[in-house]
Amino acid sequence: MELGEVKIIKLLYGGIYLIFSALIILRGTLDIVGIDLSQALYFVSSDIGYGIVVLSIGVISISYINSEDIIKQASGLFVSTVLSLGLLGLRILVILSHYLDYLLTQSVEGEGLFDLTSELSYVEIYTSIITIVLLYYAYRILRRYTI
Amino acid sequence: MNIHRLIHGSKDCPYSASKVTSDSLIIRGKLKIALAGIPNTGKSVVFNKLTGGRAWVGNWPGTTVEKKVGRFRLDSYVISVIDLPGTYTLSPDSIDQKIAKDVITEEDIDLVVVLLNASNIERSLYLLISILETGAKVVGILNFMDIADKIGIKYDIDKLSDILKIPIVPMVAVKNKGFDILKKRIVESVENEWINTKPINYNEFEEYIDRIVERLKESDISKRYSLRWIAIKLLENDRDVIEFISRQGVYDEVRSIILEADKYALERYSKHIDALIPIIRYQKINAILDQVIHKVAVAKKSFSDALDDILTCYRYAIFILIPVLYMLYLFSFEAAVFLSDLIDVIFSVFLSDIIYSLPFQVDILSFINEGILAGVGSVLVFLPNIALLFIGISVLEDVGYLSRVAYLLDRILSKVGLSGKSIIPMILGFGCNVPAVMATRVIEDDKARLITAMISPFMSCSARLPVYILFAGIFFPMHMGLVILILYLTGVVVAILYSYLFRRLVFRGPSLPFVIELPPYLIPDVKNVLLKSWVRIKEFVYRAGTIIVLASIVIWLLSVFGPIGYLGYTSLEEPQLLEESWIAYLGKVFEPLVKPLGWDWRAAVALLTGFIAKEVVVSTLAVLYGGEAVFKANLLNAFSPVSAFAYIIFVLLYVPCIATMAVLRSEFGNKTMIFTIIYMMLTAYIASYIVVVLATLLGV
Repeated sequence: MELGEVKIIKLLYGGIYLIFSALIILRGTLDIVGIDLSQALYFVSSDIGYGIVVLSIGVISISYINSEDIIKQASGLFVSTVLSLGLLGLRILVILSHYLDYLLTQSVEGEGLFDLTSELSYVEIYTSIITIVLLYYAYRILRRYTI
Repeated sequence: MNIHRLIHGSKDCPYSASKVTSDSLIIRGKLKIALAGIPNTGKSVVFNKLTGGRAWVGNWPGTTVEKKVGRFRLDSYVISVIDLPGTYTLSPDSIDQKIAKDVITEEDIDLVVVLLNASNIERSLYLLISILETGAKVVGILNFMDIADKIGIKYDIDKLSDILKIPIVPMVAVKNKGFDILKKRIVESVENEWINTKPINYNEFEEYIDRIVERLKESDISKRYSLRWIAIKLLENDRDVIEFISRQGVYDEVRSIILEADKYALERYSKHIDALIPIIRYQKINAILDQVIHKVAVAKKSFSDALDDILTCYRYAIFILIPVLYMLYLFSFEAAVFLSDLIDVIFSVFLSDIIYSLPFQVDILSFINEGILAGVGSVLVFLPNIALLFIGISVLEDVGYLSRVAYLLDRILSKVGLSGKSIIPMILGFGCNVPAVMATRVIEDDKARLITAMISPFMSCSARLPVYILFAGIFFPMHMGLVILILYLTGVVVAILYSYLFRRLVFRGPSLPFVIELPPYLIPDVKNVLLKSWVRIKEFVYRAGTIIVLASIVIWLLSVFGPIGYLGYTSLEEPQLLEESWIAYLGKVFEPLVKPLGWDWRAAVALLTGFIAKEVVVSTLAVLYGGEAVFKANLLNAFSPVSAFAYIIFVLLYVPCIATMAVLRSEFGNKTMIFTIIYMMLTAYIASYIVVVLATLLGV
C-alpha cells in the first residue's frame, strides 16, 4: 500500500468518526435541553462523553495527514483502530454485564429494564468490521517499515 | 549485610566465563534475596514468576512505599524474595532509594538479584555497580533480550560476566525464558563465597579511597560495611553515610582526605569530587559496554518508536488519553455492574433470608444482618470495581502506556503540585474514591502522592449521583443536567485549587525530579497481570474490611439504642422510633450547625449516615422524611431550592465514605485521615454557606 492510499483511507475512516461524533454530541446536547430527536437520530447514542471519545479516535485517525512519513501515517491508523476495537470490546462486555444484571434484577425483584438498541449504537456495529480490516493493514505497514 | 561473607570472601572469582563452582559453605535452609532494578525493567514480572504471586504486601516501616515479600522453594532452600522499590541509584535523595539502600546494606540479605534492561542498559548498569560496591552478592538479569535483539544490540554475556565478576543471566521474563538458569545461578551464588566489591576503578581517586579505607580499618565500621563502599560514599558526599561516620566519631579522621580529593578534582577537572564520581562511573560503564555490546546496523525504526510518534506526541496525547481513560472507566465500573449487584443480592437477599430463618431472637438476627453482614457486604460490593480496576491498571502498566501518560501530563500537573501519574487516581475518583486512593501508589513522589490522595475524594464518585439526581430532580427539574454538570465541575475545580494550595503552603520544598524510563511496548502476560492484581485485591479486602465492619456495627447500635434504652430493631424502619435513637440525638446536636444552611436535624443525620456510603444519604432521608409516599412532598417543605443546592454541594465536598477513609488511614496513617476529614468538612461547610449567602444577597 502506498502513502497516498493510506492517506485517503485515513481521511475516510477519520471522517466517518468525526461525523458520527458530531451527531452523538448533537443528540446528547439536544436531549439535555429537552429537544427529543431520538427517532431521527436513533442510530447514534446520546452520550456526550462517548461522543468526545469517538471524536478523539477520529482525530487520531487523521493525525499527521500532511506528513510524507508512511510510518507516522500508519501509526496514527494503527492506534486509532486499536482504540476503536478496544472500545467496542469493552462496550460489548458492558452490555453483557448489564444484561446479566437485568436477569438478576428480574429474578429478584420481578422487574427490570434492558434495551439493546440503547446500549449499543448502530455506528459501532457498522464500523467494527472495517476497523478490523484497517487494523490489519496498518499493522502490516508498520511491520514492513519497522523492526 | 552478611558479615561472615565479607570477612571470609574467597579471592578467586568463580565467574570466569561459564565456570561456576559450588562449594557448599553455608548451611542449606532459609535464604533472603532482594530484587532490585530501575523502574520498568520487568521486576514485578520476575517477582511474580519466582514466587507464583504468593506475596505479603505491606508498607516499609514508617513509609507509605509498598513492600512486597514473596517466598518460593528452590532445591533444599526456602527463599524469601524482597521486591525493592524501583530506583536509579542508592543515594538518599528519595524514600525509594533510601529503602533500597537500607535493605541492601543493613538487612541480612544473602543475595541481590539486579535486573538490567538489555534494550537500554546504561542506567541499570549504574545501579548494579552501585549495589556491587556495597559488598552485596549479586546476580544480574539481562532482561528484554528479545527487544535488544530486534533493535540490533548483541551482547557478549560471558565477557560482561567476566568483567563484573558476577553471573549474568539473559532473560525474556515476560515469555518465561531464562528462569531455569536464573534459579541455578541463585543457588550457585549463595553457595559460593565470592563477592566483587570493586567492579570499577576510579582512576587516580583510588588512592584517596584506599587512604580512607586505611583510616577506617581500625573502627567498628569494618565489621558491618564494606569500607570501600563507605569511602566512595564519603567522596560522593552521601549525607547518610557522613552522618553515620560522624556518629562513630571517625569523620574528622577522614575529612582531610575528602577535602584533599575535592581540591584535586577541582584543580584537575574543574568539578567537585561528589559530581565527578558519577561521571567516572558512567565513563567506566561506557568502556565496559564498548567491550560487550556489538551493534548490528539497523536502518529501520523499532515498532515501539513508531507507535511513540503518536503516543508521546503532545499534539495528539489528549485524544488518546480520553478514550483510554474512558475505557478504564467502562471496564472498572460499568462492566462490574453485574458482579457488584450479584454480591449485593447475595448479602441483602440470600444471606439475609438465611440469617432470618435461623432459630434465634430477631434482635440478634438484626444485629448480625444489619450490623455485621451489611458492613461486610458494603466492602465486598466494591470488590468487582477494585479487582477490574487493578487489572486495567496492570494491563496499562505492562503494555507500557502508563509511563507515557505520566511523561505527557507531568508538565501540566506539576504546575499545581501534582505528578503526571495523578491523572489516573483523579479520573478513577469519578467512579469510586476507594480505588482512587489505592491507585495513588503508582506515584513515586511522596508529596504528590499524598496531595493526590487528599484531593481525589473531591471527584464526584458514582455513589453521590443518586443524591444529586434526587435533589436536582425535585428542586431543579428543568435544569437537572446543568445542576449535575456544575457539581462535577465544582469538584474538579476545588481539587485543583487545593492541590495548588497544599503544594504552596503545606507540602513545600522541592519535589522529586520526574525521571521515567519509557519501556518498550509489550503484550501483557495474562498470568502476571492477574497475579499482580490478586495481591492488591487481597490487601484491600483485609485493610478496608476491618474498619468498615466496626463502623457499621457502631451505626447500628446508635440507631437501635437511645437514652431510654433499647428501641428495638424496627427503629431502622420507623421514623418515630428512630427519632428516639442516639443517632437522632447526635443529629440534633449538629442541628444548630446546619440551621444557618437551612437544614433540620434529619438532614444532619442523613449526612452522618452518609459516612458509611454516600448512597445511604438517600435511604436515610427517605426513612426520616416519612417513607416513600410522602417523601418528596416533605422534602419540598423541608428544603428551599437554595438550601437544597447547598445540601448537594455539601454532599459533594464533605468527608468521603468510611471505606475511603479506611484506605486513606491504611495508606497514609491517622494524621492524614483526620486532616482530610477536617479540611473537607470545613470546605463543605464554607462552600454551602457561601451558596446560601450569595443567594440571599442576590435575593433568590
